[in-house]
Amino acid sequence: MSAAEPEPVDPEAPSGDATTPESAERLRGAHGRNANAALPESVRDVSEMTDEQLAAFGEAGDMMGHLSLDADLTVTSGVVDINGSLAGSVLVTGGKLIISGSLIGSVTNDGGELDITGSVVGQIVGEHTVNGKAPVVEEEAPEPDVGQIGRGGPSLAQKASVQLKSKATRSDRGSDPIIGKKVRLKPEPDTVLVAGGVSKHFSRDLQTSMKYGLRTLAKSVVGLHDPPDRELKEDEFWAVKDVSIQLQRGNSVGIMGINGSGKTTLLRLLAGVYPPDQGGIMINGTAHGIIGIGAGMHPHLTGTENVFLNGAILGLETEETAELYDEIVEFAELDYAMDAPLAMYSSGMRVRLGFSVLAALRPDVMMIDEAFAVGDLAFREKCFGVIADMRKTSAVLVVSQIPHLLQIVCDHGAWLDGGEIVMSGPIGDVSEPFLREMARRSPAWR
Amino acid sequence: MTTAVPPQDNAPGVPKGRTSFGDDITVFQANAKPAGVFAGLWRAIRLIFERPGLIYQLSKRDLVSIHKKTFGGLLWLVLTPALSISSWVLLRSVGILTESNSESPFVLYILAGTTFWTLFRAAYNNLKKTLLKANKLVLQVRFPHEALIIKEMIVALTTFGFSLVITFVALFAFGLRPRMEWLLFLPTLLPLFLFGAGVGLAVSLMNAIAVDVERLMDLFLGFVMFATPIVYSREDVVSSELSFLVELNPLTYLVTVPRALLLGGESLPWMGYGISSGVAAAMFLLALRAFFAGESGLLERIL
Repeated sequence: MSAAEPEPVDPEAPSGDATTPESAERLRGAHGRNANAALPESVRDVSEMTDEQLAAFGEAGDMMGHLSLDADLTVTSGVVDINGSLAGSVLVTGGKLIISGSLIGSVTNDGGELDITGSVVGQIVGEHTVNGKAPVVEEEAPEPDVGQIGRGGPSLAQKASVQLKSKATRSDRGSDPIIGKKVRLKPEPDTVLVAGGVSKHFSRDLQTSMKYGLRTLAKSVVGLHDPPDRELKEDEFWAVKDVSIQLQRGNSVGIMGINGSGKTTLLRLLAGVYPPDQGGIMINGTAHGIIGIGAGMHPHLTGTENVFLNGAILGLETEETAELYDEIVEFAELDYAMDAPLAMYSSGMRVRLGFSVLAALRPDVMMIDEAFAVGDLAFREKCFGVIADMRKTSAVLVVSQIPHLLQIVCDHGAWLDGGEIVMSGPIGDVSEPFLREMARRSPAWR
Repeated sequence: MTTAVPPQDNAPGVPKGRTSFGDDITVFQANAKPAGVFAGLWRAIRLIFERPGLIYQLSKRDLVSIHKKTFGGLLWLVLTPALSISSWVLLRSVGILTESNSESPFVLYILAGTTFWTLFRAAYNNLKKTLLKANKLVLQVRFPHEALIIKEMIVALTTFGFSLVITFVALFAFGLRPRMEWLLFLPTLLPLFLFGAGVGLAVSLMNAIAVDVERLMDLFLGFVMFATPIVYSREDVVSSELSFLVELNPLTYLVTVPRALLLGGESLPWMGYGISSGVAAAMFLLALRAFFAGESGLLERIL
């Protein structure tokens, strides 16, 4: 069913119908991607929903599937319990809203009561209680230094950058032209990742890439390297140029950019997959990333075999993976498929398995590359929950070209364009101009 | 988790190019100096003990997965060498192969020679794909790439191990009985294995850039096989040009000595074997050096 022609909710249908597959399908249709379009304008206010609609909304639980609203939902009176999952934002102006399920989006209490017993992945504004009690106020996470740090504020990234440059200067005076091994970085408490002036260049043309590759290999073998400040050669371009990032525990940064802007390359640099052509990166602890899906997983091996394989690649020994196995399978909700070969999995199932292994590892820096794009909404919600939880002890870096996705999981954002960070700051402050620019560039974004 | 670690240079287990300042802190630098060949070799050996799970899982993946989509399953590990050996026996039985000047029964001579050639080719074939076969993996996650070399060597040795067992069954069936020289037989195969691994590893680096070298090397090794006394003995060669090539070929000695120890009846060219072993070791170490020095700069060119 298309969003333009949603199936209306039958107000005469008995609420008990919600338990049948047919009615569940009907409800999914009614509350699909564009639920408000399926409801009369007046029903956008939950208090004006019919009993059946409220029953479907508040009680159908899993049968409901997952609601995704384009417009704000307003609770004005009565008691509404979100016990399924809801993606969208909710305003409470009266009555009481209980979130016993999960809400992906913001909730604002402006005159009513708000009690959260489930989970909210997004902003909570206004008075609220958690399990009926006043919430514990958590210390605000430190502001990350993102973007032009190497050229800006006095951060560790800048120090690293300066130190690296000073090494280069020393080498220019005739000693070793390669940036020295003995870079004196002094990690600060809770700093988990520092990238100072990181750059990476690629070739546009396959033949020149092969030619330069041969030269690079020959030079490397005899111990020679290009100078760090070398100019681009013919057919080369900067995939990432002079990017500096400092992340502390509790930081969550979303990097947005169009295809080819350098997001994945940056992630590979920060994860240590690529060596940088300029600059330096310091990782304090463990850094793992979902760059693609399920590193090393083999389609002919079973889910179980792939969990152990993926775990080993990510640094776990067999016994450690065995200890985490039940947790991984439970999180992935794939216990029924663990003996099947991975080739039989859908792409979403593969992501679930890959993410579950990664989530069990709890790295100090978690990097995710648009992997959520293929997960279903329910699993995405679980992932958001894990990321929200992970932000308490780790730093999270997500790259995507979908700012709305980043706004859910990230506090801060950076806009990457042509390999350079053109803007950074609070996620909302970056998302808006990014979207405006995308709309300007392409009608498809309008 | 270490939060403020005093700088320590060259922390053990960490490549020089990825300088560590403690157990938990790693630094990636532009144009970092790579590990030397012995430091790299030592790191690879340490990896076997520090990350046995990684080595095991990667090896298991390669050994098991290639037989998953077969009805025979792991039986193919035995079937492949068995069928290969059968073909030689068949050729012999129909009279296509003529007797050589070797004192050993000719079928045994060929079986041993081809099995040893299998060791060389298995090492070469596996190692030449070290980077290309793992192209997705190395671009997805950071892990010690030495594990790939070790894994390919284990897979090659395992494949050869099954071949060797089948060969021994065949040799026993043809009446061969254990000899004292067998104590030396296995160690003398090591240079042959290292030679194949070294050539393969060098080709692997080139493969990351362009596959021309692999194609040329595959053709070249086809020729080298016939310049190696596998289906004939050194004494059979009458052409002076071929004789020159055979005598110059390091593989001649690396195959002849273990075969003579296994079967007896052949002279033991220890001098040639010693020089060839040196060549093989140098080839392997040079390839390792090239791998440690050049591999990280080639990652973006693996397509």
